[in-house]
Amino acid sequence: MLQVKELRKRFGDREAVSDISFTVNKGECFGLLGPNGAGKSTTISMISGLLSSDHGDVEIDGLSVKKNLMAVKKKMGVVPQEIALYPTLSAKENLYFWGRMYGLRGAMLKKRVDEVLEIVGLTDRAKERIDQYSGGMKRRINIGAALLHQPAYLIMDEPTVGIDPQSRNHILETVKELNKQGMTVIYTSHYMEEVEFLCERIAIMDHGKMIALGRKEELYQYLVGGTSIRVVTAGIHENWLAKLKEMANVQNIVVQEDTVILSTSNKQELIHQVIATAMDEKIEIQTLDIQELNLEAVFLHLTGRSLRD
Amino acid sequence: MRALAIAWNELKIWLRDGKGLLLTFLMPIVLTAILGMALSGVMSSGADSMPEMEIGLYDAEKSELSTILAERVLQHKDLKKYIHLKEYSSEKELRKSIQDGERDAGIIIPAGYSKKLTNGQSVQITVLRHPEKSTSGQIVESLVAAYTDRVTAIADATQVVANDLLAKPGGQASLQSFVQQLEQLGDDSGDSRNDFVREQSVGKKSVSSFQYYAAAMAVMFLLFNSVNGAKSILGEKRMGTLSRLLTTPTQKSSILVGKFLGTLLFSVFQISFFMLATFLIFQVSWGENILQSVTIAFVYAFAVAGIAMMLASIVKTEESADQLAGFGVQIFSMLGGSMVPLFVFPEVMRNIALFTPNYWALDGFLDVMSGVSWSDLFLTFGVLLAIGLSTLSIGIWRLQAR
Repeated sequence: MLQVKELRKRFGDREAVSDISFTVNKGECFGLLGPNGAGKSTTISMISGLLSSDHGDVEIDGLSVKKNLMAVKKKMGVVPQEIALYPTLSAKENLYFWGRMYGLRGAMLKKRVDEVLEIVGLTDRAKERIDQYSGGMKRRINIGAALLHQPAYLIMDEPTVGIDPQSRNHILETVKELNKQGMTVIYTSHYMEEVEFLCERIAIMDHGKMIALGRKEELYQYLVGGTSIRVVTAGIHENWLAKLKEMANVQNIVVQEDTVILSTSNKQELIHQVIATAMDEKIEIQTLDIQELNLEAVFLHLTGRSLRD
Repeated sequence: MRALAIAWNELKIWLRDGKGLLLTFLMPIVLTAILGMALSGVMSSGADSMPEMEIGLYDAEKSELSTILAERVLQHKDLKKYIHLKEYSSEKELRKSIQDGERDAGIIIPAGYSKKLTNGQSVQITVLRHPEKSTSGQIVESLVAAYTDRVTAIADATQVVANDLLAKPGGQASLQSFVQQLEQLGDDSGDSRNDFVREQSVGKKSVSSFQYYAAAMAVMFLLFNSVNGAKSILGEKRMGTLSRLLTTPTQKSSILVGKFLGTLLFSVFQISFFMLATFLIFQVSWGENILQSVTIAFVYAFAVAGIAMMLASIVKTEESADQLAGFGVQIFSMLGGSMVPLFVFPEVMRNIALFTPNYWALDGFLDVMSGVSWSDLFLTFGVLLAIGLSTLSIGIWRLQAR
């Protein structure tokens, strides 16, 4: 079990993480969701011992990161957000190197490198240099390097940033499979679809604080009686926006270029009002849809902002 | 074990850098060839250590001291083959011969030279230089200055001791014996070769231009590794591999020792290759006792790797390190004698050179090439090891704290 207890971290005047606490059970896939700058990576850095916390501690199977860092590191595989590999070395050479850093030697090292290459689906390209790989392939080796010592806990920080959908699917399927085999996964992302796909329990972070924690279904409860309505227009006028903001039914409003996202507890009445005011202000509505229950809507509901803001 | 794996990884990465390898392995060989050939006239080859010079002399005094300078210093048996001395009957004639390019340099001994010198007064021997033969002029100037200093020192000492002896009972007899000893010393002052000549050849053999520039280029290009080593650490920081290393169960100290060993290994590999290549291509002899050269190479590589660690702890970005490489290494190389032989520099520059690690390495190699004993190299080993250990300690201490 991994326990995060009241973690706090300050950089100068800015509090990057404020008293974060959560528990990840063995074999679970836990999601840490939030926009860029929410404090996810800082939290991950403190869990993996890269950063020391100003307050609080992390315990993995009863071992404190502060007191037993080396023992804790043996249990963890960390996939960093950047491609932390040596570009002029081949994938195989990289894996051999990282395997040695995790204490593997000889036949065991060779066996694990071969297995990991198989897992990430790059056995036939193993001898190519990393700088000749596509972004997706690099990401796969980046993950593979953290799997070599068969860690009990896999900690992944935005592992799919900037890759093609095919590679993303491969990575998500791989993580799902590893979790199915018993590996505990902590997955951070600002892509709510990924977290929704992989994780049973999710913590949502914003501005260094945890604003929600629970199973997916529990988080959707935030939206009970509430809905998001997305209106795409040909062009927004300030007057219309002012009228929308004055409506009693609107709980939150987000404007993204020509799109307006409204959260409400009374969708029928709001739809009527939106259309009526748009006609008054001569706003051309191109599409209007009621959004399904998802983490994006939860985040919007809780913060009044989109995850990708 | 992990430190060795990091060092090995580092070596592999360096050896994969094609452009870097070209600069590291080929450039010093090319530069050795160019400079060795271009300056072969200055340093001559084989057993010679000085260029041959046509020197003119106008002695307005013809005293005992001026004759000693002309006959026993400038025409000393060890210098005679380099200095072709011709006496002129007037200063005008001497100046004309230099202007015409007939003589490389000229010496004018003024009237009253001996008297002023023995009275402890300031006296100047003029050395004329042909503008295109500045090296000859500098050599002559050094010879004259060394002789004048020695005679002045003897004259000063004589005066002090004579006054002292005369003031004591029985001083007259003592003074007589002292004067005899001085006469012998005065003769010796013309006999000994000056400091400059000794600087060129400490051991039994002299050093050829190819030998000099092989050592100079080896030392200069190895110094670049201090910047490259620092850049390697900064590069790992930028790529995120350093952070990733810190998430593995590898001690920070192992990472730092590994990076240090990586730079050391590469430097040793580079200088071994260079020594072998210059021996095979230019028949450069790295000394009779190759073990001495190998030891100098190793302790210098150690110092360079130590400096790399210190730089990594000071410099923040790879760009700053590059600027340092472009500027700092060249300044150090210039000061340390890698570009122009140190003997053409004034003394103040030669003293500044003592603060550069490359000076000590170059000096060590030249000593080995000239055939010195192990004990003559202890100072060089000591200084380079001290530089390596102190910079390594500072580097590890600062990087550990980050």
